[in-house]
Amino acid sequence: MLKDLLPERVFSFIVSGADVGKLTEVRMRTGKPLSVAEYGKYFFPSVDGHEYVVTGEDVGHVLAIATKHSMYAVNSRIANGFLSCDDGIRIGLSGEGVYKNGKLFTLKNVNSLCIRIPSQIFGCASGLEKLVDDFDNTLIISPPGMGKTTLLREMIRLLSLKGKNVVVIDERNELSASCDGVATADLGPNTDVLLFSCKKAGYADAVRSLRPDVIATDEIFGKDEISCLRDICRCGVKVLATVHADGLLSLLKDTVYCELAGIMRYFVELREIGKISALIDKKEYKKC
Amino acid sequence: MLKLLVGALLFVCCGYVGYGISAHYRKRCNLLVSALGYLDHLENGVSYLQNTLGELTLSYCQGKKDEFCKILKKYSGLLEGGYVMKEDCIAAAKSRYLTAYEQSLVAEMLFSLGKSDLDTQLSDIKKYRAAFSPIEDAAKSNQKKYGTLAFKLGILSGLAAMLVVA
Repeated sequence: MLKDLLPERVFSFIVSGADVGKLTEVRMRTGKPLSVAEYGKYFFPSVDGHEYVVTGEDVGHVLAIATKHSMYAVNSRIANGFLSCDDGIRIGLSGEGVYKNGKLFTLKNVNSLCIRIPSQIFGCASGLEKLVDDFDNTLIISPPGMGKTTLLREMIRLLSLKGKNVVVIDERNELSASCDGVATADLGPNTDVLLFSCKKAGYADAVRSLRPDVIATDEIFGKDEISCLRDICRCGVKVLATVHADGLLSLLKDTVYCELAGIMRYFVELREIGKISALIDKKEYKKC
Repeated sequence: MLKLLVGALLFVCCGYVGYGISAHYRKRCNLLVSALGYLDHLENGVSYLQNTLGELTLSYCQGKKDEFCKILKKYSGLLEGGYVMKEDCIAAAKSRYLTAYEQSLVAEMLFSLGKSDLDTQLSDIKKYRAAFSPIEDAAKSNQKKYGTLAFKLGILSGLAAMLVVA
């Protein structure tokens, strides 16, 4: 999948200088050395002491493949600063913003790409069996790059296997890694995916038309979304979500995100890559 | 007997040349009609379901064998290959049925596709349609005038040659 996305010369350089199987991220900055992360640890791969300097053409190649040469179909995503590939690879973009009627319309002269490679690790939710058996609103908390999305994907699969109807609001195709509308990641037999759906509209549509037991979403962001989650819970639907934060305490200190404490029952904290450091049950007021 | 054979041979040759010239006009006309058809197909596909350029190009070429679809098939191969350079489009747009200016217009059009937002893409499509329309009109009228004339002249000159030899 990464092979199809990157220019051949870049991919062969990575193959020579890094372990492709362990890659979690590839960073391409025009005019700067190519950087990769193996399980979250960044380094500049080198072959015979030489690093690979990324060119504008390399960046253009990735953009052409990621957009399938069809910028018109993905412009709204570019304006939001990302692109998704069919296999769940997400590309963060940075470049010059172009504004139209006072709104960010698109990005031009894209000069830097953050290519994040998804992984599905079966069994990474071991230790959370109680939570799956007696499911209630759950929030996974961690700083970026600690495996929140991987854990969320596994929990969706487990809940779905338990017979719950899970609706996944997959705004960026990170969770389902869909290809032509069909999920390539295993999200379980009772899971529906709302792909590239605006979260606000997605929540309402899901509750009204898909009769979910659980709604799952990645990366809660801002007051509006928290208010949507409150609405969902009022409807009797459970929520499984993730949020970027150092931990529950820092979340509680935030004037906007502290509202989540009122909505959620379980809080799962990740402080090291893929390691569940705490499971907090609000009802028991203790660390499990 | 030999004269008759040579006469028949000259008739066939002249007829063939006439047919060849006529076919050139016909193929050129079909190519330009197809180019405009492709732009219409793109406009529909881009504005509604926003299908990808590769899908739209392949679906347009399905079951078609005209000269423009030959160009599109090369272009489609380029899209599958990765980053498309302008030089690649220029090479793909080469056709003996188009003038140098028309080839550069086709190359420019192919290179511009898929590189902008929806509104710009649609206005680009309109711009290229406006550029191709008068060329297509001229090609149609030339085909009517010279294409048919060339075929008829081929046959007539063949007959005349046959008579002269006989």
